[in-house]
Amino acid sequence: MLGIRFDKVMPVLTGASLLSIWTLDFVNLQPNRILPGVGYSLQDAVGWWSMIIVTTLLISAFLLSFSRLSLRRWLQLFIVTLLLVLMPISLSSFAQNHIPETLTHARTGLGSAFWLVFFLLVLMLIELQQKLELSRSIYCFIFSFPLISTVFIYLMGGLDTLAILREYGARSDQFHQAVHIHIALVGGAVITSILLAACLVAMMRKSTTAQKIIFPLLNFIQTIPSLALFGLLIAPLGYIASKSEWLQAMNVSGIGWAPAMIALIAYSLLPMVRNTFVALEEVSESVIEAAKGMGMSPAQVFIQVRLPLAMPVILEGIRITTIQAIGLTAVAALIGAGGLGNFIFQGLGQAAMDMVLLGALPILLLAIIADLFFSSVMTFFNQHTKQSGATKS
Amino acid sequence: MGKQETIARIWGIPLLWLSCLIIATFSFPYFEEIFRQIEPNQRQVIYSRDSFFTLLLNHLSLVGIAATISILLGVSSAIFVTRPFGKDFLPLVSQIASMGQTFPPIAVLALSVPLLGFGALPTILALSLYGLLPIVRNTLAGIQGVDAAVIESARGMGMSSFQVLRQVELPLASTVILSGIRTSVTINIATAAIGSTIGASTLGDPVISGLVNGNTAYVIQGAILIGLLALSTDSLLDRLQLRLSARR
Amino acid sequence: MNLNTMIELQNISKYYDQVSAVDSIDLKINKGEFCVLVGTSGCGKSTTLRMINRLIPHSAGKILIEDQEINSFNEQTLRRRIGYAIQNTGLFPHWSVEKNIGTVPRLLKWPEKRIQERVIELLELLNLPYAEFAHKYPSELSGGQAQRVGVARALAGDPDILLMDEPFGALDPITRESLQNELLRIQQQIHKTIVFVTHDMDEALKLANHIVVMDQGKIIQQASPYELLLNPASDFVSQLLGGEDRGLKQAGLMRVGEYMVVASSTHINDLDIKNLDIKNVETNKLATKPLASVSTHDSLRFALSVMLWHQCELLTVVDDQQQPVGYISLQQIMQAKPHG
Repeated sequence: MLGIRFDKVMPVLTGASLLSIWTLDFVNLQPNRILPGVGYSLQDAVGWWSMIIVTTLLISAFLLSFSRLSLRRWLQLFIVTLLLVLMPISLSSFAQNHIPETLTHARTGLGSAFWLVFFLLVLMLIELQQKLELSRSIYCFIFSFPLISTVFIYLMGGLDTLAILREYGARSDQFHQAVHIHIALVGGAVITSILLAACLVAMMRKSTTAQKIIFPLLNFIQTIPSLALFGLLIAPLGYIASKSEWLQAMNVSGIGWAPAMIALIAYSLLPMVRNTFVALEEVSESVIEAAKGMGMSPAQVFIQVRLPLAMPVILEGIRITTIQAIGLTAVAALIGAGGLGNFIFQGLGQAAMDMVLLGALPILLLAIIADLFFSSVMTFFNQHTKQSGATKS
Repeated sequence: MGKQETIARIWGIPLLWLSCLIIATFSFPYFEEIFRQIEPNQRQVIYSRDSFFTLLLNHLSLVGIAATISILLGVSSAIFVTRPFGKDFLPLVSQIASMGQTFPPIAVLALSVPLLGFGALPTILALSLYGLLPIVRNTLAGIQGVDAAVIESARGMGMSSFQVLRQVELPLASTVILSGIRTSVTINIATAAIGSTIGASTLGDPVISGLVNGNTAYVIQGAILIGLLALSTDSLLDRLQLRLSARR
Repeated sequence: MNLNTMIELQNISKYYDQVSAVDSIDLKINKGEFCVLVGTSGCGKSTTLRMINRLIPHSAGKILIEDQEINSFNEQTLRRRIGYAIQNTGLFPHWSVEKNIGTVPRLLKWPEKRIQERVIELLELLNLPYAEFAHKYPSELSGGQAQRVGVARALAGDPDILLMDEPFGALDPITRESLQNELLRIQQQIHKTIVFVTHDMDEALKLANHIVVMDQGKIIQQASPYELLLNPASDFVSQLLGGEDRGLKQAGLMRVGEYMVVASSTHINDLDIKNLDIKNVETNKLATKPLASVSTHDSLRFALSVMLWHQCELLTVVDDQQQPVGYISLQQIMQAKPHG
């Protein structure tokens, strides 16, 4: 007798979504930036019919988990995507119903139900992707639907009352500048540390003494919390800058971009050096032996064999470094480096949550984009090395 | 004699950092002259809104509570998804644990404010949530890394599932789990310092206050203490890890 | 109901998603028997073994141990009564040899002192000096030593039954042979009921007194080693037995002691070829004096090999103390009939 087992994940996730839709606020409405908002449930915000549609969809996804249909996961995937597409539409519908055009300062805040359901839907998507073993491209294709719906509604003006967009509207120049500075700092730090790491790794491959000095030193720096390292650079850098006119001309001082850059590079070196060194060291000796045996010169062995084989792990190092730098740059705003962290700390200072979001969400987005970018490059490299390995053997 | 020597060799570095931390905590007021050199124009050069010791204790308890929550929750959820009744959740949980590392801790901290407000509580929540991920990931890796033959023979000899977990899986995974805890605590000490900006009292206070008021002396005092705290904790956990793996 | 039966499988099957891995097999294993399940990989022998200690639940049929259905026991209680040793030893890397061996006794809540005595006893039984090995960790052992510890651990709770899943499969030929000999020696002392899985027919012939040949989830033939060699039930079985090598394999099962001519030592030393009933010796120009000796425990196959090597037709047979006790000739080997 074979007992039929049902997967418990989707029922739990859909059940939790149902619960939050029915018990928590979906959106809230602030008359202006300062006054506290009033919460609306989905039913009050968009109408009872929307509640029926969402509930029906969630219950069907819930029940599908217990069916024996072979297509059940694909149907669930369809429902989840549909719900994600509906989310921005619901916001626009709320704005139409509840915010008269005259209230130019009124803003729609996203309620806890909105965030929770969004989070749970993303989890469902990840879960279904894993169980259906979807490839990255199909996954991106599915994600494009909610994205297109959001962009479409945004262009139609349906999201104009959204708090974060009102905040953006008020300081769009500042925002664009902050994004530029943020990316410039991250990019500068990552590129410099790639170059520096290459030199350090070259030294370490030559001498074990260098290994014994460089690894503990970089580990030591990595251990020191960012706030402390930024703080400790202020005094010495300020002192040096005050003595050198050339540095002053470069706008270097104890606060600002210079200490931020130094600290970012110092932090970036460890993951970069560690991954590069380990990757190069761990290329299988037999492959190197074979390359030498076929008469390759040491330079050829390095460029044609060792480096390509080490590339995926080196790229992983660059990925870690970049993501880490995106977060650390936000902290660097505290020492006047600018960037998106400015909005976070200014927002916190003024208790303006929308401004905090205007800083934090783009940082999150930048990190996710960097992660996606490097992992697709890595997948490409992995496939490449596998293929070439297969054809050679 | 010999025993004392080995204690010094094993615990020497953590003890060194720890004593630096304690000395620094209590002795900054005695170095007023030096700090005055740095900030000759400030009326006050020693941070005094709270004693450094209070700040250190606050910082430690914040990280301690958050770490306790993350360890309990992280290890038990990793155990849950590796048991037969929870294995449906394994792919999702391991995916979240690896993806969550993408989120910068500062963003998580900032996002916790709109949801939870200012103060120590949202900081603790943000810290324990973020600190959960490396622990879940490493516990999963540790448990899944135990040789299948070892588990099979443990079951074959008549150990109950709980005995297999308690006597075989967890001890064998312990080094990897501890390294996850180390990562988590290191990140949390750094993030807790930034918690000052959302109203938690930590060693970040002097730094933030110094940056806001342009008082570099405050910044240095806070930064030195934060740095020493991180170094002592990290080297302590590093030694623990060494001890644990040396027993193999 | 047979008082002699230790394990009985009645119509046992195991299905994975409707596909059968083991297909309605019946098997009786007697007390003190050394039963070897042999077959190619994927034939269901390992699955059958693991169903006995319920590491794999059976899908249909009944398994009885001393006439009690195994599902009537608590799973853990059952396993603590059955020793279990596997190919990759499964030794706990974080425990010393002593602690590893003491696992089941500790699970059975024996007093500390008794556990230690048991460990000492077992290490001695397996030729691992306590002082040298008790406090080592598995990573410090050689493959052979680790497998000895694995066997000791399986025996620690003094189980009536010992299940062994290709325990010597990963060892080099020399270590494997010495461990096989040791297992035979130990079995002579302890008389457990052993169920042993292997894909190596030579190992099966050497160890078993009951061989079960399996293929595609079914039992093809079960017999004593001699019977199997004399009457293989199918081409598959004779292929497993190695075809034309069967004669040598059979000789490998027969002991010199059982076929030699007993003679007093003085007689052998003055042995004259004329007193022996051997023909054509002089014309063959082979050495007619016994040039080499074999022990009573050696196999006829070994004796034959010694004769080929020394180019002689006659060997002295010596006992454990290296004292001559008789002789054996080529003709006697040729005419020897198995009486297994």
